[in-house]
Amino acid sequence: MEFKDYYAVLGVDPGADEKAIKTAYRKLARKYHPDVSKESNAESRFKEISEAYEVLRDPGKRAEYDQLRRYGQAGQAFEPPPGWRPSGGFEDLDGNVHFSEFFESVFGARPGASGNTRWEHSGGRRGQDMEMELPLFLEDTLSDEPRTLNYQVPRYSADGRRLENVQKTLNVRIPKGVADGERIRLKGHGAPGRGGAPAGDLYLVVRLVPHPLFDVDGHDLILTVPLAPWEAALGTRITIPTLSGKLQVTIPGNSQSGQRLRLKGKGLRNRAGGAGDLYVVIKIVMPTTQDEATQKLWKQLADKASFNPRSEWRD
Amino acid sequence: MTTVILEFGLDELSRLVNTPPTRVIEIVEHGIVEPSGQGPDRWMFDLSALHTVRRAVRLQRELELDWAGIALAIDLLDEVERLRTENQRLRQRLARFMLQE
Repeated sequence: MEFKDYYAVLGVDPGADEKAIKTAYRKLARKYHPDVSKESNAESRFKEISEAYEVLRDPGKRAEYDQLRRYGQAGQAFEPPPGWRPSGGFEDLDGNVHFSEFFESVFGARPGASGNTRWEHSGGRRGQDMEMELPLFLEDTLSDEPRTLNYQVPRYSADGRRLENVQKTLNVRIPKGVADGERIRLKGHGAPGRGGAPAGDLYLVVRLVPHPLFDVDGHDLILTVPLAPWEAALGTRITIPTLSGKLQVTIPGNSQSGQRLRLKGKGLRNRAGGAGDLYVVIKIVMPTTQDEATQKLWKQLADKASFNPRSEWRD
Repeated sequence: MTTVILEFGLDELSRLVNTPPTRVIEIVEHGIVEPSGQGPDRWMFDLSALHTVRRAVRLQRELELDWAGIALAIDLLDEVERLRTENQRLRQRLARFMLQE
């Protein structure tokens, strides 16, 4: 196990007073708090910072730590000196931060410590609530089939020691009309409680996976449809994909780029049991190559058509 | 199959967030969440309120902010989140109209 230099973590001098430690913590906490920060390592940094603060804010723990600090240095292997006994007896911190092995060897295991999933909190001896992301393809939101989830929950021995995680499997029916970012609560499927207390809950955060063809706007879908200039000019009948199969659509003549056609009820499902709409957005595309004959036809059109696409620019 | 519970009373919410009901009442008084129902005895909180209360309690403890600061922080964080999502969607839609280089 590695020795942790809590003073270095907070960027303060070992002689720093309580006020300086508090200020350093507040600044770093604002920068790395996982709810606030978009830094990629925010969560692990924040854990380090709160662990350091948890020790240095408390004169008793700080004294214990200072004593130990004489034995170890940051980055080096650390073994507690012979006869060292963890002081234990932790106040509840709501358990959303997992402290290091180093911390636990010095101050004792904290009930409610966590692993690599983001645990939300522990209530007394009730099991921890857990949160995980549930990536959903747009097609999945139309299906009534239950989905199988595999996840791990932490496990503790009777005296609060962390044991190996338990693998769990769960079949979940995704509620109709779920939106991106929405939470689904699965009661009692979080970490098991201790001493006969109820288990925590599992929260799934829905993440709609970006689709190669469809964009999402609330419960509506948007499909961009490329058209040749003559298809837009003359109108055409084309086959378009939807989430639930193909569909024939008539494109009226004289269609514009950016114009939208609405196909009612072909979007995502909503909670009321209905569905949003599918918007077809027209995008006019030029052929990438032109032979001489085509060039001639365009020339004819240019000569005959009296159309100024930039008429709105007149000064 | 699992039960999906959508609403909680004050006591249930406090228990889930592991914070005293008096603090939840403060959070409501600062308009951080808006339960349905008149008066604490009849308040009902939905899942997103549960999540917001939990965030508020966490921010209060970990950033040592007061409730007014938390109310502002949560509003702004939600707004940033909303704008990020919208920005990403609009970029994705715009990209469909641009030539891929």
